[in-house]
Amino acid sequence: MKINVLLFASLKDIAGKGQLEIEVEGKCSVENLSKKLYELYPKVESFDSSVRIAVNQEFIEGDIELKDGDEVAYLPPVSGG
Amino acid sequence: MNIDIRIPSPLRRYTDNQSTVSLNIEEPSVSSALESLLKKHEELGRHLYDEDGALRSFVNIYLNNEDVRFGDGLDSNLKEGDELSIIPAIAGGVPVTLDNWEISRYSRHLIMPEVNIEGQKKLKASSVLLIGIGGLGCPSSLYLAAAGIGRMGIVDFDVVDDSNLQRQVLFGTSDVGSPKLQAAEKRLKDLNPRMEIELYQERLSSENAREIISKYDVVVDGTDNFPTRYLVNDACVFEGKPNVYGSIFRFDGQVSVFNYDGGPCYRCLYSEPPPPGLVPSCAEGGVLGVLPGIIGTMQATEAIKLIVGMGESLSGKLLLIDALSMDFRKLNIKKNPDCKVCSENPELTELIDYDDFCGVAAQTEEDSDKIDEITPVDLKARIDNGDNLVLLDIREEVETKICQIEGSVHIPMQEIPSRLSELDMHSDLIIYCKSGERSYAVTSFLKKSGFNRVSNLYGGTLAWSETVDPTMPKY
Repeated sequence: MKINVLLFASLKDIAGKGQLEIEVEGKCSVENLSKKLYELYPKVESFDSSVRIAVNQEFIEGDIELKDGDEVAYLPPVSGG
Repeated sequence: MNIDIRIPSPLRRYTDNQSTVSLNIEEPSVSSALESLLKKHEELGRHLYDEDGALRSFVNIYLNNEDVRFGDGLDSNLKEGDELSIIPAIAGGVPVTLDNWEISRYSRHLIMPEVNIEGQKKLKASSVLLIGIGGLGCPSSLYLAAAGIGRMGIVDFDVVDDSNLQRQVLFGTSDVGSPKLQAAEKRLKDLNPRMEIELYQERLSSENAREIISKYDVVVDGTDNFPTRYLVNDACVFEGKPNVYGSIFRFDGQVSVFNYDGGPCYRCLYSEPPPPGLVPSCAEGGVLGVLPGIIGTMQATEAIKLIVGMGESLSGKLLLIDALSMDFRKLNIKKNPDCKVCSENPELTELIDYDDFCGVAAQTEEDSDKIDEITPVDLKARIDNGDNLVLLDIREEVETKICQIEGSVHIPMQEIPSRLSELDMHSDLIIYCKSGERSYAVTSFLKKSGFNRVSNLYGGTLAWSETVDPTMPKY
Protein backbone atom coordinates (compact mmCIF):
# COMPACT_ATOMS: atom_id res chain seq x y z
CA MET A 1 0.00 0.00 0.00
CA LYS A 2 0.99 3.60 -0.50
CA ILE A 3 1.27 6.18 2.25
CA ASN A 4 1.41 9.89 1.50
CA VAL A 5 3.99 11.47 3.81
CA LEU A 6 4.10 15.21 4.48
CA LEU A 7 7.13 16.89 6.01
CA PHE A 8 7.17 20.37 7.53
CA ALA A 9 9.69 23.07 8.53
CA SER A 10 13.21 21.68 9.22
CA LEU A 11 12.20 18.18 8.08
CA LYS A 12 11.31 19.56 4.68
CA ASP A 13 14.77 21.11 4.46
CA ILE A 14 16.45 17.83 5.38
CA ALA A 15 14.53 15.80 2.79
CA GLY A 16 14.62 18.55 0.19
CA LYS A 17 10.88 18.12 -0.35
CA GLY A 18 7.67 18.45 1.60
CA GLN A 19 5.78 15.51 0.20
CA LEU A 20 6.68 11.94 -0.70
CA GLU A 21 5.02 8.60 -1.18
CA ILE A 22 6.28 5.61 0.76
CA GLU A 23 5.32 2.16 -0.48
CA VAL A 24 4.94 -0.50 2.21
CA GLU A 25 4.11 -4.19 2.01
CA GLY A 26 1.45 -5.77 4.19
CA LYS A 27 0.56 -4.18 7.52
CA CYS A 28 2.23 -0.98 8.55
CA SER A 29 1.93 1.13 11.70
CA VAL A 30 3.04 4.74 12.09
CA GLU A 31 6.12 3.50 13.94
CA ASN A 32 7.10 1.22 11.03
CA LEU A 33 6.54 4.08 8.62
CA SER A 34 8.79 6.36 10.69
CA LYS A 35 11.54 3.71 10.55
CA LYS A 36 11.28 3.65 6.77
CA LEU A 37 11.38 7.44 6.67
CA TYR A 38 14.51 7.47 8.85
CA GLU A 39 16.17 4.96 6.51
CA LEU A 40 15.53 7.32 3.62
CA TYR A 41 16.55 10.45 5.56
CA PRO A 42 18.68 9.50 8.58
CA LYS A 43 18.84 13.10 9.90
CA VAL A 44 15.05 13.15 10.35
CA GLU A 45 15.49 10.64 13.19
CA SER A 46 17.08 13.30 15.42
CA PHE A 47 13.60 14.87 15.58
CA ASP A 48 12.02 11.58 16.69
CA SER A 49 11.27 12.68 20.27
CA SER A 50 10.15 16.22 19.30
CA VAL A 51 8.03 15.64 16.22
CA ARG A 52 4.22 15.39 16.35
CA ILE A 53 2.51 13.14 13.84
CA ALA A 54 -0.96 13.63 12.34
CA VAL A 55 -2.73 10.90 10.40
CA ASN A 56 -5.42 12.20 8.04
CA GLN A 57 -5.39 15.63 9.73
CA GLU A 58 -5.70 14.27 13.29
CA PHE A 59 -2.76 14.38 15.67
CA ILE A 60 -2.26 10.92 17.13
CA GLU A 61 -1.05 9.68 20.49
CA GLY A 62 1.11 6.56 20.44
CA ASP A 63 1.10 4.19 17.49
CA ILE A 64 -1.72 3.28 15.10
CA GLU A 65 -2.15 0.99 12.08
CA LEU A 66 -2.19 2.69 8.68
CA LYS A 67 -4.22 1.89 5.60
CA ASP A 68 -3.67 2.45 1.91
CA GLY A 69 -3.80 6.11 0.91
CA ASP A 70 -3.41 7.52 4.43
CA GLU A 71 -1.80 10.92 4.78
CA VAL A 72 0.81 11.09 7.53
CA ALA A 73 2.19 14.52 8.47
CA TYR A 74 5.41 14.99 10.47
CA LEU A 75 5.45 18.29 12.29
CA PRO A 76 8.50 19.48 14.24
CA PRO A 77 8.00 22.38 16.67
CA VAL A 78 8.72 25.83 15.26
CA SER A 79 9.57 28.82 17.42
CA GLY A 80 10.27 31.71 15.07
CA GLY A 81 8.50 35.01 15.46
CA MET B 1 -37.26 16.54 24.20
CA ASN B 2 -33.58 16.13 25.02
CA ILE B 3 -31.10 18.88 24.46
CA ASP B 4 -27.43 19.45 25.37
CA ILE B 5 -26.12 22.83 26.46
CA ARG B 6 -22.36 23.42 26.33
CA ILE B 7 -21.03 25.51 29.17
CA PRO B 8 -17.85 27.61 28.68
CA SER B 9 -15.00 27.01 31.12
CA PRO B 10 -15.40 30.29 33.09
CA LEU B 11 -19.02 29.40 33.94
CA ARG B 12 -18.46 25.76 34.82
CA ARG B 13 -18.01 26.57 38.48
CA TYR B 14 -21.77 27.23 38.49
CA THR B 15 -22.62 23.89 36.83
CA ASP B 16 -20.70 21.60 39.19
CA ASN B 17 -17.82 21.63 36.69
CA GLN B 18 -19.89 20.05 33.95
CA SER B 19 -18.91 21.11 30.43
CA THR B 20 -22.23 19.91 29.02
CA VAL B 21 -25.60 19.98 30.74
CA SER B 22 -28.23 17.60 29.32
CA LEU B 23 -31.80 18.74 29.76
CA ASN B 24 -35.23 17.42 29.09
CA ILE B 25 -37.40 20.36 28.02
CA GLU B 26 -41.07 20.71 27.27
CA GLU B 27 -41.22 23.63 24.85
CA PRO B 28 -38.82 23.42 21.88
CA SER B 29 -37.32 26.95 22.05
CA VAL B 30 -33.97 28.41 23.06
CA SER B 31 -35.53 30.51 25.80
CA SER B 32 -37.23 27.53 27.40
CA ALA B 33 -33.97 25.57 27.27
CA LEU B 34 -32.19 28.42 29.07
CA GLU B 35 -34.99 28.61 31.61
CA SER B 36 -34.61 24.90 32.41
CA LEU B 37 -30.86 25.37 32.67
CA LEU B 38 -31.29 28.15 35.24
CA LYS B 39 -33.74 26.06 37.23
CA LYS B 40 -31.05 23.44 37.55
CA HIS B 41 -28.14 25.87 38.09
CA GLU B 42 -29.59 29.01 39.58
CA GLU B 43 -26.34 30.90 40.04
CA LEU B 44 -25.74 31.05 36.29
CA GLY B 45 -28.63 33.49 36.05
CA ARG B 46 -26.85 36.67 37.02
CA HIS B 47 -24.02 35.89 34.60
CA LEU B 48 -26.31 35.40 31.63
CA TYR B 49 -28.98 38.05 32.25
CA ASP B 50 -28.84 41.68 33.37
CA GLU B 51 -31.03 43.29 36.07
CA ASP B 52 -33.83 43.82 33.54
CA GLY B 53 -33.88 40.16 32.60
CA ALA B 54 -32.30 40.68 29.16
CA LEU B 55 -29.49 38.47 27.90
CA ARG B 56 -26.21 40.28 28.62
CA SER B 57 -24.63 41.79 25.50
CA PHE B 58 -21.41 39.82 25.89
CA VAL B 59 -23.20 36.47 26.09
CA ASN B 60 -23.66 34.75 22.74
CA ILE B 61 -25.88 31.72 22.33
CA TYR B 62 -25.02 29.35 19.49
CA LEU B 63 -27.41 26.75 18.13
CA ASN B 64 -25.39 24.02 16.39
CA ASN B 65 -22.59 26.51 15.69
CA GLU B 66 -24.84 29.34 14.47
CA ASP B 67 -25.29 32.48 16.54
CA VAL B 68 -29.03 32.61 17.35
CA ARG B 69 -28.87 36.41 17.01
CA PHE B 70 -28.76 35.86 13.25
CA GLY B 71 -31.72 33.48 13.38
CA ASP B 72 -34.85 33.92 15.46
CA GLY B 73 -32.97 34.86 18.62
CA LEU B 74 -34.23 33.28 21.82
CA ASP B 75 -37.39 32.20 20.00
CA SER B 76 -35.38 29.93 17.69
CA ASN B 77 -36.90 26.47 17.46
CA LEU B 78 -35.10 23.40 18.72
CA LYS B 79 -35.31 19.82 17.62
CA GLU B 80 -34.30 16.60 19.34
CA GLY B 81 -30.52 16.31 19.71
CA ASP B 82 -29.73 19.97 19.00
CA GLU B 83 -26.75 21.42 20.80
CA LEU B 84 -26.79 24.87 22.36
CA SER B 85 -23.53 26.56 23.35
CA ILE B 86 -23.07 29.54 25.61
CA ILE B 87 -20.12 31.53 24.34
CA PRO B 88 -19.17 34.60 26.33
CA ALA B 89 -17.36 37.21 24.28
CA ILE B 90 -13.87 37.68 25.62
CA ALA B 91 -14.23 41.27 26.72
CA GLY B 92 -17.38 42.46 28.24
CA GLY B 93 -19.26 43.87 31.10
CA VAL B 94 -17.91 47.40 30.68
CA PRO B 95 -20.59 49.60 29.14
CA VAL B 96 -19.08 51.66 26.33
CA THR B 97 -20.55 53.89 23.68
CA LEU B 98 -19.22 55.04 20.34
CA ASP B 99 -19.13 58.73 19.46
CA ASN B 100 -19.40 60.16 15.94
CA TRP B 101 -15.62 60.14 15.45
CA GLU B 102 -15.59 56.42 16.15
CA ILE B 103 -18.69 55.74 14.08
CA SER B 104 -17.06 57.33 11.02
CA ARG B 105 -13.76 55.62 11.64
CA TYR B 106 -15.23 52.12 12.06
CA SER B 107 -18.08 52.42 9.56
CA ARG B 108 -16.86 49.48 7.48
CA HIS B 109 -17.17 47.28 10.56
CA LEU B 110 -20.48 48.76 11.68
CA ILE B 111 -22.31 47.98 8.46
CA MET B 112 -21.43 44.27 8.63
CA PRO B 113 -24.11 42.36 10.57
CA GLU B 114 -21.50 40.00 12.03
CA VAL B 115 -19.65 42.88 13.74
CA ASN B 116 -22.15 45.77 13.89
CA ILE B 117 -22.13 48.41 16.59
CA GLU B 118 -22.24 45.80 19.37
CA GLY B 119 -19.12 44.09 18.08
CA GLN B 120 -17.32 47.41 17.74
CA LYS B 121 -18.19 48.24 21.34
CA LYS B 122 -16.73 44.91 22.42
CA LEU B 123 -13.52 45.78 20.58
CA LYS B 124 -13.42 49.15 22.32
CA ALA B 125 -13.95 47.50 25.71
CA SER B 126 -11.25 44.92 25.05
CA SER B 127 -7.56 44.72 25.85
CA VAL B 128 -4.90 42.71 24.04
CA LEU B 129 -1.35 41.89 25.15
CA LEU B 130 1.28 41.41 22.45
CA ILE B 131 4.29 39.44 23.58
CA GLY B 132 7.14 40.35 21.27
CA ILE B 133 6.94 43.11 18.67
CA GLY B 134 8.95 41.49 15.88
CA GLY B 135 7.92 39.85 12.63
CA LEU B 136 4.56 38.72 14.02
CA GLY B 137 3.84 41.49 16.51
CA CYS B 138 4.33 44.31 13.98
CA PRO B 139 1.50 43.39 11.61
CA SER B 140 -0.82 42.13 14.35
CA SER B 141 -0.41 45.34 16.38
CA LEU B 142 -1.14 47.51 13.34
CA TYR B 143 -4.37 45.68 12.49
CA LEU B 144 -5.52 45.43 16.11
CA ALA B 145 -4.96 49.16 16.61
CA ALA B 146 -6.75 49.90 13.34
CA ALA B 147 -9.66 47.63 14.35
CA GLY B 148 -10.31 49.78 17.39
CA ILE B 149 -9.32 47.72 20.40
CA GLY B 150 -9.39 49.85 23.53
CA ARG B 151 -6.12 48.95 25.21
CA MET B 152 -2.93 47.32 23.99
CA GLY B 153 0.01 46.10 26.05
CA ILE B 154 3.35 45.30 24.39
CA VAL B 155 6.23 43.39 25.97
CA ASP B 156 9.62 43.66 24.26
CA PHE B 157 13.14 44.65 25.33
CA ASP B 158 14.80 44.81 21.90
CA VAL B 159 16.23 47.62 19.80
CA VAL B 160 15.41 48.06 16.09
CA ASP B 161 18.14 46.55 13.94
CA ASP B 162 18.79 46.93 10.19
CA SER B 163 18.02 43.24 9.68
CA ASN B 164 14.51 43.70 11.18
CA LEU B 165 13.26 45.99 8.42
CA GLN B 166 12.85 43.16 5.87
CA ARG B 167 9.69 42.10 7.75
CA GLN B 168 8.99 44.28 10.80
CA VAL B 169 6.73 46.78 9.09
CA LEU B 170 6.10 49.01 12.10
CA PHE B 171 9.61 50.38 11.91
CA GLY B 172 11.41 52.67 9.48
CA THR B 173 15.04 53.27 8.67
CA SER B 174 15.12 56.25 11.05
CA ASP B 175 14.13 53.93 13.94
CA VAL B 176 17.27 51.77 13.67
CA GLY B 177 19.03 51.85 17.03
CA SER B 178 15.94 53.00 18.98
CA PRO B 179 14.03 50.74 21.37
CA LYS B 180 11.30 48.89 19.47
CA LEU B 181 8.67 50.00 21.98
CA GLN B 182 9.44 53.66 21.43
CA ALA B 183 9.12 53.32 17.65
CA ALA B 184 6.00 51.15 17.98
CA GLU B 185 4.27 53.58 20.29
CA LYS B 186 4.84 56.48 17.88
CA ARG B 187 3.36 54.61 14.91
CA LEU B 188 0.44 52.99 16.77
CA LYS B 189 -0.55 56.23 18.52
CA ASP B 190 -0.65 57.92 15.14
CA LEU B 191 -2.79 55.10 13.74
CA ASN B 192 -5.22 55.10 16.67
CA PRO B 193 -4.85 58.00 19.11
CA ARG B 194 -7.76 56.76 21.24
CA MET B 195 -6.15 53.39 21.99
CA GLU B 196 -4.40 53.16 25.35
CA ILE B 197 -0.89 51.74 25.01
CA GLU B 198 0.99 50.12 27.88
CA LEU B 199 4.65 49.35 27.30
CA TYR B 200 6.72 46.75 29.13
CA GLN B 201 10.37 47.32 28.23
CA GLU B 202 11.51 44.08 29.82
CA ARG B 203 11.91 40.40 29.20
CA LEU B 204 8.78 38.36 30.00
CA SER B 205 9.83 36.15 32.93
CA SER B 206 8.38 33.73 35.43
CA GLU B 207 8.40 36.64 37.90
CA ASN B 208 6.36 39.15 35.88
CA ALA B 209 4.37 37.02 33.37
CA ARG B 210 1.24 36.25 35.39
CA GLU B 211 0.83 39.76 36.67
CA ILE B 212 1.16 41.31 33.20
CA ILE B 213 -1.02 38.72 31.45
CA SER B 214 -3.76 38.99 34.10
CA LYS B 215 -4.46 42.58 33.02
CA TYR B 216 -5.55 41.67 29.47
CA ASP B 217 -8.41 39.82 27.78
CA VAL B 218 -6.43 38.16 24.98
CA VAL B 219 -2.73 37.32 24.57
CA VAL B 220 -1.04 37.30 21.15
CA ASP B 221 2.17 35.27 21.21
CA GLY B 222 4.76 36.59 18.76
CA THR B 223 7.89 35.45 20.57
CA ASP B 224 10.87 33.89 18.87
CA ASN B 225 12.11 31.22 21.26
CA PHE B 226 10.90 28.09 23.02
CA PRO B 227 11.39 29.13 26.67
CA THR B 228 9.12 32.18 26.20
CA ARG B 229 6.55 30.14 24.23
CA TYR B 230 6.18 27.70 27.14
CA LEU B 231 6.15 30.56 29.64
CA VAL B 232 3.36 32.36 27.71
CA ASN B 233 1.37 29.13 27.41
CA ASP B 234 1.58 28.21 31.08
CA ALA B 235 0.88 31.74 32.30
CA CYS B 236 -2.18 31.95 29.99
CA VAL B 237 -3.46 28.64 31.37
CA PHE B 238 -2.97 29.77 34.98
CA GLU B 239 -4.62 33.13 34.33
CA GLY B 240 -7.40 31.70 32.14
CA LYS B 241 -6.53 33.81 29.08
CA PRO B 242 -6.79 32.73 25.45
CA ASN B 243 -3.41 32.52 23.71
CA VAL B 244 -3.44 33.39 20.02
CA TYR B 245 -0.39 31.55 18.76
CA GLY B 246 1.65 32.14 15.61
CA SER B 247 5.02 30.79 14.60
CA ILE B 248 7.20 30.99 11.49
CA PHE B 249 10.21 29.32 9.90
CA ARG B 250 11.54 30.05 6.38
CA PHE B 251 8.36 29.55 4.26
CA ASP B 252 6.25 27.71 6.87
CA GLY B 253 3.80 29.29 9.28
CA GLN B 254 1.51 27.97 12.00
CA VAL B 255 -1.49 29.59 13.67
CA SER B 256 -3.75 28.38 16.47
CA VAL B 257 -5.76 29.54 19.46
CA PHE B 258 -4.77 27.84 22.68
CA ASN B 259 -6.46 27.66 26.05
CA TYR B 260 -9.79 28.95 24.82
CA ASP B 261 -13.16 27.67 26.00
CA GLY B 262 -11.89 24.32 27.25
CA GLY B 263 -9.74 23.71 24.15
CA PRO B 264 -6.17 22.42 24.12
CA CYS B 265 -3.09 24.42 25.13
CA TYR B 266 0.34 24.49 23.45
CA ARG B 267 1.56 21.73 25.76
CA CYS B 268 -1.29 19.47 24.57
CA LEU B 269 0.44 19.70 21.18
CA TYR B 270 4.10 19.72 22.26
CA SER B 271 4.37 18.59 25.86
CA GLU B 272 8.16 18.99 25.99
CA PRO B 273 10.48 21.40 24.18
CA PRO B 274 12.90 20.01 21.57
CA PRO B 275 16.50 19.49 22.69
CA PRO B 276 18.43 22.80 22.45
CA GLY B 277 19.98 23.42 19.07
CA LEU B 278 17.75 20.95 17.17
CA VAL B 279 15.27 23.46 15.77
CA PRO B 280 16.87 26.44 14.04
CA SER B 281 15.55 29.94 14.79
CA CYS B 282 14.68 32.51 12.11
CA ALA B 283 18.06 34.17 12.73
CA GLU B 284 19.71 30.86 11.80
CA GLY B 285 17.34 29.44 9.19
CA GLY B 286 15.96 32.65 7.74
CA VAL B 287 12.37 33.62 7.04
CA LEU B 288 10.57 35.01 4.01
CA GLY B 289 9.85 38.62 5.02
CA VAL B 290 6.21 38.58 3.99
CA LEU B 291 5.43 35.33 5.87
CA PRO B 292 5.11 36.92 9.34
CA GLY B 293 2.86 39.47 7.63
CA ILE B 294 0.49 36.65 6.69
CA ILE B 295 0.71 34.85 10.03
CA GLY B 296 0.61 38.02 12.20
CA THR B 297 -2.50 39.31 10.45
CA MET B 298 -4.12 35.89 10.93
CA GLN B 299 -3.37 36.14 14.65
CA ALA B 300 -5.00 39.59 14.67
CA THR B 301 -8.01 38.09 12.86
CA GLU B 302 -8.37 35.36 15.48
CA ALA B 303 -8.02 37.86 18.35
CA ILE B 304 -10.72 40.09 16.83
CA LYS B 305 -13.04 37.09 16.31
CA LEU B 306 -12.62 36.02 19.94
CA ILE B 307 -13.33 39.54 21.19
CA VAL B 308 -16.41 40.07 19.03
CA GLY B 309 -17.54 36.46 19.53
CA MET B 310 -18.06 35.74 15.84
CA GLY B 311 -17.24 32.84 13.55
CA GLU B 312 -15.28 29.75 14.45
CA SER B 313 -11.90 30.17 16.08
CA LEU B 314 -8.81 28.03 15.48
CA SER B 315 -9.17 26.55 18.96
CA GLY B 316 -8.47 22.82 18.66
CA LYS B 317 -6.94 23.30 15.21
CA LEU B 318 -3.47 24.02 13.96
CA LEU B 319 -3.43 25.92 10.68
CA LEU B 320 -0.32 25.23 8.60
CA ILE B 321 0.69 27.49 5.74
CA ASP B 322 3.38 26.79 3.19
CA ALA B 323 4.08 30.02 1.33
CA LEU B 324 6.09 28.23 -1.39
CA SER B 325 3.24 26.00 -2.53
CA MET B 326 0.49 28.17 -0.99
CA ASP B 327 -0.90 25.04 0.64
CA PHE B 328 -3.14 25.69 3.64
CA ARG B 329 -3.93 22.76 5.94
CA LYS B 330 -5.80 22.42 9.20
CA LEU B 331 -4.89 19.64 11.63
CA ASN B 332 -7.09 18.77 14.61
CA ILE B 333 -5.49 19.01 18.05
CA LYS B 334 -7.17 17.26 20.95
CA LYS B 335 -6.89 18.33 24.55
CA ASN B 336 -4.42 16.02 26.27
CA PRO B 337 -6.18 14.50 29.33
CA ASP B 338 -2.75 14.15 30.97
CA CYS B 339 -1.51 17.66 30.08
CA LYS B 340 0.91 18.90 32.72
CA VAL B 341 -0.73 22.31 32.95
CA CYS B 342 -4.29 22.31 31.57
CA SER B 343 -5.66 18.87 32.52
CA GLU B 344 -8.02 18.37 35.43
CA ASN B 345 -5.21 17.27 37.73
CA PRO B 346 -2.26 19.26 36.47
CA GLU B 347 1.25 18.40 37.59
CA LEU B 348 2.26 22.06 37.42
CA THR B 349 0.28 24.80 39.11
CA GLU B 350 2.84 27.58 39.04
CA LEU B 351 5.43 28.93 36.62
CA ILE B 352 8.85 27.27 36.48
CA ASP B 353 12.32 28.22 35.19
CA TYR B 354 11.75 28.01 31.43
CA ASP B 355 15.37 28.43 30.33
CA ASP B 356 16.16 25.44 32.48
CA PHE B 357 13.12 23.54 31.17
CA CYS B 358 14.26 24.11 27.57
CA GLY B 359 17.85 23.18 28.41
CA VAL B 360 19.18 26.61 27.48
CA ALA B 361 20.82 27.60 30.75
CA ALA B 362 21.86 24.07 31.62
CA GLN B 363 23.81 23.62 28.44
CA THR B 364 25.69 26.88 28.75
CA GLU B 365 26.71 26.21 32.32
CA GLU B 366 27.71 22.63 31.73
CA ASP B 367 29.94 23.41 28.78
CA SER B 368 31.33 26.79 29.73
CA ASP B 369 34.14 25.36 31.87
CA LYS B 370 35.49 23.26 29.08
CA ILE B 371 35.15 25.51 26.04
CA ASP B 372 37.97 27.82 24.98
CA GLU B 373 36.90 31.04 23.34
CA ILE B 374 38.94 33.63 21.49
CA THR B 375 37.93 37.22 20.78
CA PRO B 376 38.18 38.58 17.21
CA VAL B 377 40.90 41.03 18.29
CA ASP B 378 43.05 38.23 19.78
CA LEU B 379 42.46 36.08 16.72
CA LYS B 380 43.56 38.92 14.42
CA ALA B 381 46.74 39.29 16.49
CA ARG B 382 47.49 35.57 16.16
CA ILE B 383 46.89 35.65 12.39
CA ASP B 384 49.17 38.72 12.04
CA ASN B 385 51.77 36.92 14.16
CA GLY B 386 51.80 34.11 11.57
CA ASP B 387 50.56 31.44 14.01
CA ASN B 388 49.62 28.14 12.43
CA LEU B 389 45.81 28.17 12.65
CA VAL B 390 42.92 26.53 10.86
CA LEU B 391 39.87 28.81 10.60
CA LEU B 392 36.79 26.63 10.27
CA ASP B 393 33.64 28.34 8.97
CA ILE B 394 30.65 26.16 9.91
CA ARG B 395 27.92 28.38 8.46
CA GLU B 396 25.63 27.39 5.58
CA GLU B 397 26.84 27.71 2.00
CA VAL B 398 24.55 30.72 1.35
CA GLU B 399 26.09 32.61 4.25
CA THR B 400 29.65 32.15 3.01
CA LYS B 401 28.64 34.04 -0.11
CA ILE B 402 27.77 37.10 1.98
CA CYS B 403 31.13 37.29 3.76
CA GLN B 404 33.96 35.11 5.06
CA ILE B 405 37.17 35.59 7.01
CA GLU B 406 40.10 35.22 4.63
CA GLY B 407 41.80 31.84 4.55
CA SER B 408 38.89 29.88 6.06
CA VAL B 409 38.00 26.26 5.50
CA HIS B 410 34.25 25.72 5.05
CA ILE B 411 32.32 22.72 6.39
CA PRO B 412 28.61 23.32 7.13
CA MET B 413 27.60 22.49 10.72
CA GLN B 414 25.40 19.55 9.72
CA GLU B 415 28.26 17.87 7.86
CA ILE B 416 30.86 18.14 10.64
CA PRO B 417 30.14 14.72 12.23
CA SER B 418 30.66 12.90 8.92
CA ARG B 419 33.72 14.93 7.87
CA LEU B 420 35.82 14.81 11.04
CA SER B 421 38.64 13.07 9.18
CA GLU B 422 39.23 16.24 7.16
CA LEU B 423 40.25 18.11 10.32
CA ASP B 424 43.77 18.04 11.71
CA MET B 425 43.77 17.17 15.41
CA HIS B 426 47.24 18.61 15.89
CA SER B 427 46.74 22.18 14.70
CA ASP B 428 44.83 24.97 16.43
CA LEU B 429 41.25 25.02 15.19
CA ILE B 430 39.19 28.21 15.43
CA ILE B 431 35.49 27.59 14.83
CA TYR B 432 33.19 30.40 13.76
CA CYS B 433 29.67 31.22 12.59
CA LYS B 434 27.66 34.44 12.46
CA SER B 435 27.07 35.10 16.16
CA GLY B 436 29.19 32.52 17.95
CA GLU B 437 26.21 30.41 19.00
CA ARG B 438 26.27 27.60 16.44
CA SER B 439 30.06 27.51 16.50
CA TYR B 440 29.90 27.16 20.29
CA ALA B 441 27.89 23.95 19.88
CA VAL B 442 30.32 22.67 17.23
CA THR B 443 33.34 23.54 19.41
CA SER B 444 31.76 21.60 22.24
CA PHE B 445 31.07 18.66 19.91
CA LEU B 446 34.64 18.63 18.58
CA LYS B 447 36.02 18.76 22.09
CA LYS B 448 33.93 15.72 22.99
CA SER B 449 35.18 14.03 19.82
CA GLY B 450 38.77 14.30 21.03
CA PHE B 451 39.93 17.59 19.51
CA ASN B 452 41.82 19.40 22.25
CA ARG B 453 43.17 22.41 20.40
CA VAL B 454 39.82 23.88 19.43
CA SER B 455 38.36 27.31 20.29
CA ASN B 456 35.20 29.19 19.48
CA LEU B 457 35.38 32.65 17.89
CA TYR B 458 33.44 34.74 20.39
CA GLY B 459 30.69 36.78 18.72
CA GLY B 460 31.30 35.30 15.25
CA THR B 461 31.51 37.36 12.07
CA LEU B 462 29.29 40.03 13.68
CA ALA B 463 31.93 40.72 16.33
CA TRP B 464 34.73 40.40 13.75
CA SER B 465 33.04 43.16 11.75
CA GLU B 466 32.58 45.34 14.82
CA THR B 467 36.04 45.01 16.31
CA VAL B 468 38.45 43.99 13.54
CA ASP B 469 37.20 44.61 10.01
CA PRO B 470 34.35 47.12 9.59
CA THR B 471 34.21 46.39 5.85
CA MET B 472 32.82 42.92 6.58
CA PRO B 473 29.03 43.07 6.08
CA LYS B 474 26.75 42.22 8.99
CA TYR B 475 23.64 40.23 8.13
